[in-house]
Amino acid sequence: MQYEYMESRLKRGQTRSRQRNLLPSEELLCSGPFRFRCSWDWAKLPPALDRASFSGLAWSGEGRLYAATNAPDCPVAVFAADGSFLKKLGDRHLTGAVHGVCLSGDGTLWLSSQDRHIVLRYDKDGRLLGALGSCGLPSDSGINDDCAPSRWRYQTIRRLAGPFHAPTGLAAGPDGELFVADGYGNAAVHRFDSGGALLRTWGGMGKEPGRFTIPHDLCVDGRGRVLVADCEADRVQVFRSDGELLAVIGGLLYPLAVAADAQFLYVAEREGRITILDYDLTVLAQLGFYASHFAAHSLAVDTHGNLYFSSLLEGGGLYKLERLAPGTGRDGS
Amino acid sequence: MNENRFRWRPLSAAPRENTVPCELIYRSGEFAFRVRNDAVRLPEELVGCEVAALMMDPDDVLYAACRVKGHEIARFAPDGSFLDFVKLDEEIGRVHGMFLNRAHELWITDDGFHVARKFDQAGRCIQTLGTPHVPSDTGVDPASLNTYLAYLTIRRAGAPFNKPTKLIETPDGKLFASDGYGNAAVHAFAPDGTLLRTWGGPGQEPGHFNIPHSIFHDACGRLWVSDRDNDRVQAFSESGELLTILDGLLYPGELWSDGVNLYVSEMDGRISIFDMDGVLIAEIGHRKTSFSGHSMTGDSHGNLYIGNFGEYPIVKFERLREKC
Repeated sequence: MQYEYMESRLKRGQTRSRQRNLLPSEELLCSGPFRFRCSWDWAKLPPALDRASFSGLAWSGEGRLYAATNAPDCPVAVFAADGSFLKKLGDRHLTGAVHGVCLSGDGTLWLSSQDRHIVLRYDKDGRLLGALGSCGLPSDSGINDDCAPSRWRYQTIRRLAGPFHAPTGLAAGPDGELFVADGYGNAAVHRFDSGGALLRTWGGMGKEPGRFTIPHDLCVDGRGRVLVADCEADRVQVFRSDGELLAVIGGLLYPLAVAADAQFLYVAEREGRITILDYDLTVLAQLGFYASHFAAHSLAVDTHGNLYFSSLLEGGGLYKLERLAPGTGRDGS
Repeated sequence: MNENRFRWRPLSAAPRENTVPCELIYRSGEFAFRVRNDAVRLPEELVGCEVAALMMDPDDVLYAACRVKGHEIARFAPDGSFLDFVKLDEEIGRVHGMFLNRAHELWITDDGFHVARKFDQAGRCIQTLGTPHVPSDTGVDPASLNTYLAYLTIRRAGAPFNKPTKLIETPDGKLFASDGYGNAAVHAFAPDGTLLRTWGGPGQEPGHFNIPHSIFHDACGRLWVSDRDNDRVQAFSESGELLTILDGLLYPGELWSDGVNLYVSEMDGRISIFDMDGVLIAEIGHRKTSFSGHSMTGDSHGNLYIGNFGEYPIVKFERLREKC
């Protein structure tokens, strides 16, 4: 959030405030059976990424975090588990504006390009393998791209189109299939097999169950279910991998990202909260609250139940929520 | 509904209350606080407003100065329930500072009309300092006075007042004022309002100010001035000698002390705690927390309250003492 008085600070230039805390200080979130410690200085960002925003996150089996960034030279940034920056991947001239990133079991890396309308595929060493979709050619959903304000543009979508029109989140299934949330200019989810052949497209624009109003992100859980963050409808919809609707989780504060580990499902809500559910879709915990600083654009979970999110607040940034053992002390200990 | 331009602008229509509550706890040094957005329950007239100033009376009744015309001064019981409004008999341009003296009289600092006024408990104005509607001459560019960049054009520390920020009263009746968005000064007055001294000046040098945002008189007789746009708090003796500087803060809104420690609410999101010697001993929050402590006070149990320029106008930091 940009406060009016901030203009005076920006005009003055260099500030003498200590941006980093000098003393040990902890921030703890306790909700339901969960306790997390927030680590705001986890990511050791190189200067080029200092104020970048990270629109997609994925945790790899090798213990690394892959982040899609908007920094000019760095479509994907790779971090080690301790937050140190390892390397960058991808050539911005080919990727365009990257929105989502995911990894499949064999280490294949997928990126969605929001402005080229394609999904790019890389091997685990970062070598380009190919792409899905038609580069530069958005699929014909009938959307009026000149409609303003852009927030309501999706309402001009006329039909369910094929891949892609400004694709957003992606997720890999257990057998190497790929699911793509498509996205800002279409209202669809596509399923591809491991060879890249399109198996199914479902959705369509609307508020009815099974339709979408901006499917922003998706993930695949341990049962192979596909969870789709349907943000303008304040809900997450749960599908079988063939597109059959299983359930709708409503009452969410504009869900932008979803993630799953072996036990739990996680939803990052734009207005400042991360909701944790079990596999029966019961809400177990909510980290943050309306208008808190836990306002995230993307979310990932590692094998220990730690969460990583990118902040929507002014200045961006990439943060870690460390999962702690449940405590007994009233002060959070 | 009050217009608070610092409030979060939502895209969601879903219910805002959590179905499962979240406890947000900060620990640093010997301190642990639990954040309570809901501890002080606002009446309908104040929902969503900007709370410019807070102060506790000796019985832990909380006074809040709110930017709502006709409902500027609200009082809350120690349990957080709303008590009443103190209806003032003078119009307030824009409330910025508030101070409750030993006689339970209220000094309201008004940076809209360039005055500080003292009111009794019935809301009657009994003293006024400054000339209503007349900002003093500090060389500031009048065209910029409506913006926060005005202070960059100040040439000198002028007479009282030009958008004053806070006036306080010491236990023995002396008055001190931080002045302000259109001035770069601290003034000392006798109890009858006679100006005794003015010190300061624009800039970053020690003893100068870039927006003196508030002032606090501690138990040791030191005056702590929040020098907001210089990211520091400066301590002076009552005669204006510079004693010490607390540097590196994130846009300090206010300093408050219980006589044991010094607490600074930083508008970019932190509360820094210092001992009485000025040594940093704890940091609550960090540069990204959603608290914007424009003002701060504390009660007799060690709880802190900030006047938050954000979604939740009054946020209580409950002091936690039990450990497991």
